[in-house]
Amino acid sequence: MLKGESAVLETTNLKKAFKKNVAVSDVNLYLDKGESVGLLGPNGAGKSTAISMISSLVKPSAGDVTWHGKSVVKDPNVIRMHLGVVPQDIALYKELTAVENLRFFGRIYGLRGKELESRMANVLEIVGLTERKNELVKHYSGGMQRRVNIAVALLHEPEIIIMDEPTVGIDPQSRNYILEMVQKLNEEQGMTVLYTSHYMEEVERLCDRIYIMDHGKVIASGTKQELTGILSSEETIWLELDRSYPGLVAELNDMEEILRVIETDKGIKLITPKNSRLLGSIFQAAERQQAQIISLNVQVPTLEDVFLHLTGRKLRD
Amino acid sequence: MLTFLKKDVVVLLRDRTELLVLLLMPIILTVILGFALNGMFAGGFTSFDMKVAVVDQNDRSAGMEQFTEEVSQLSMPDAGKNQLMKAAESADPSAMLTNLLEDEELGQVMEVEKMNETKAEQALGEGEVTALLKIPEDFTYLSLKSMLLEQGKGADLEVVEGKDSALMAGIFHDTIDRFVHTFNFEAAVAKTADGKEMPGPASGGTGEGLGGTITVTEQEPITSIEYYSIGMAVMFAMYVASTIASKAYVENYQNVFARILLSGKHPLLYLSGKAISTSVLVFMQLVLLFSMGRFVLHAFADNSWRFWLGMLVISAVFSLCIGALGALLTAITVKAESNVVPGIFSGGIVSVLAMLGGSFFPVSGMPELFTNLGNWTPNGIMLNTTLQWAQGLGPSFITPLIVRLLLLTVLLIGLSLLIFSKRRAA
Repeated sequence: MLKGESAVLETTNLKKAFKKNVAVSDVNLYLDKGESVGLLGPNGAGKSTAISMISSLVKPSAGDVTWHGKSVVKDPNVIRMHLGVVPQDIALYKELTAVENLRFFGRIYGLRGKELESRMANVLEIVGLTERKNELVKHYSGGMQRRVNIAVALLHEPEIIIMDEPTVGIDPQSRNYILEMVQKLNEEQGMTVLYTSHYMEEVERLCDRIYIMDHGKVIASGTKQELTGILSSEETIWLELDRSYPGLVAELNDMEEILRVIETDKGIKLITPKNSRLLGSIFQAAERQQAQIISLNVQVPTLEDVFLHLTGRKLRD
Repeated sequence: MLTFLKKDVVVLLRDRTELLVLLLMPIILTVILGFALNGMFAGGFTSFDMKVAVVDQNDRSAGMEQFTEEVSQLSMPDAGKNQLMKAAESADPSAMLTNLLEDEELGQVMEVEKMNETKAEQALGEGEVTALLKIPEDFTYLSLKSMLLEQGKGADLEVVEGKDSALMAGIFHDTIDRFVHTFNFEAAVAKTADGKEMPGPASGGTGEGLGGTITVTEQEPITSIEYYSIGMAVMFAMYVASTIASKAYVENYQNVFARILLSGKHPLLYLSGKAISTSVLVFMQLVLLFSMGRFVLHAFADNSWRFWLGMLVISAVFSLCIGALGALLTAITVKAESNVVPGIFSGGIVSVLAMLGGSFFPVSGMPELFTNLGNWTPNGIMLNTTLQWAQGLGPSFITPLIVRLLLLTVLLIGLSLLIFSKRRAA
């Protein structure tokens, strides 16, 4: 079977323009059943607009979204009941408790009585909030609020869950909890996941396949190996310095063998051809500029490097 | 629908600041305004120390005689002639004028003394009286002729104002002017009613507008506390509409609205949920405020259960209207994706509507345009309806106002549907 042939969700040339401003254009992506797919890109790349169109909340200016082959643009209801969406905002009533929120959203999904109570207990267990379910949401920490946000999206047992940056602004512990939870939902319950983030490490950890977006377009896609393979002919040399050395940056820029020089807060990142044997020249340049090298590291390419290679910018610029 | 209602009620009940504004503020303002502006109600005027002279030259019996003779010469059936004479007997313009001048409430403002013409002119010249009123000899005859036969311009009441106290003389002039106006009005009403009943001297026809008391019937006048307990309640009911719209903005902004749409629910269900929640919250608010007014401030304490039943019905209709207003504000807020509209409404428009509708002071003395506008504000209609009901006017009097309130409700719902359907589609 070819890739995407069994796609449950697919977009074709998806475009959204707000007056003259094109937020998303020509986005083509697919999700197979049970797959975990990442949408990686910096803030403002068009990820949220894309998933708003995919989830039927925003009508595309052009293109189509299909769910099991049926057009979501023509009939949004073909996807809505099968879809769980975790918005970037805390889409909850903060004056209500977790249980009251779940009961409200459960009821509007048509759940009643014992079935509703049982599903509420189940999702509270999944997000680890059973003990504190009767507290007002406004009294929860940011991480706990995000967990309730996810619980609401899981309540009606959707086939696919779309998560828009679900870990923004929370502590590392809560973040780890959420990532483990998403992993379990995908691996143990077979839930299809579309996960958007600008955190490369989250997407690397959770997703089978990744779409990289920038300026409203998908600029690369594939598995992590396929994407880092773009940089198979290159390597990254990371120089950690005690301070900034503009002279050294200038000298390194003049070296023809070095493909790109990027100055960061703590040092300099160099992208060079693989096995270019440049270390000697780099040390000599540092000595001439009297630069204090704290450490030197030759790294294998990451998705961050891929993004850098493709756009010339860092993911979190 | 019940799910939306329950959620909206709980969310509002847990917002203590909002609750304080919606429930405590009207009570506080009722007390402040009720006591501060007490003088505007229930005969609270102080004496102006004004004295007027009345020169009564009217010869009633000669006037009646002359009128009878004129009627007898009319070419009409005897039954009609009898009816005209009956009407003339019961109307008696001079008795009504005397009644006005001897009115107890008017007596608190001015002292009236009957004098002969020479003495009166002398008193006016020496500043002993502020003004003098001359009732002409043929006052009865000319008045009846004009009123009942539609002949002539009626009798002229001559008011001579003194120079020293133009303000007070002006007040007296206005009082007489008002009498003539009221008298003509009531005569016209009586004529329309086919002469069945003419306003007699004891019918209280001179009451309205005199002495600052709002007296439409023989009921006790409304006290300032009672007036403001209604005025403030209807004003603060409008804040519920803007509060609901503000919360709708937060729901939209934080994607809760999107989450509701994703459940497959029709967007109009959300809008109607807002209308119903607003209505129920307003009804609860009014019941609470009227109860607090009744038991804490003793407003309408002597009224019967029938009165309170009527108040419940009127409040229910008003709540529907404010529910429709809440739906309109929600529709605009969701369409504009901005909290500006509920902000402007609660920050300014409510005050304007409250002023036009008479929540701050009775608008009867304001220019006609303001009064007319106020009569089409939901709070103005509600205030008028409850005031009329409180003064014992029956269902036939308040029904047109309730119909007006329902018309306004339909209009607001229509507008909100139109605007909501034009929001960015999802």
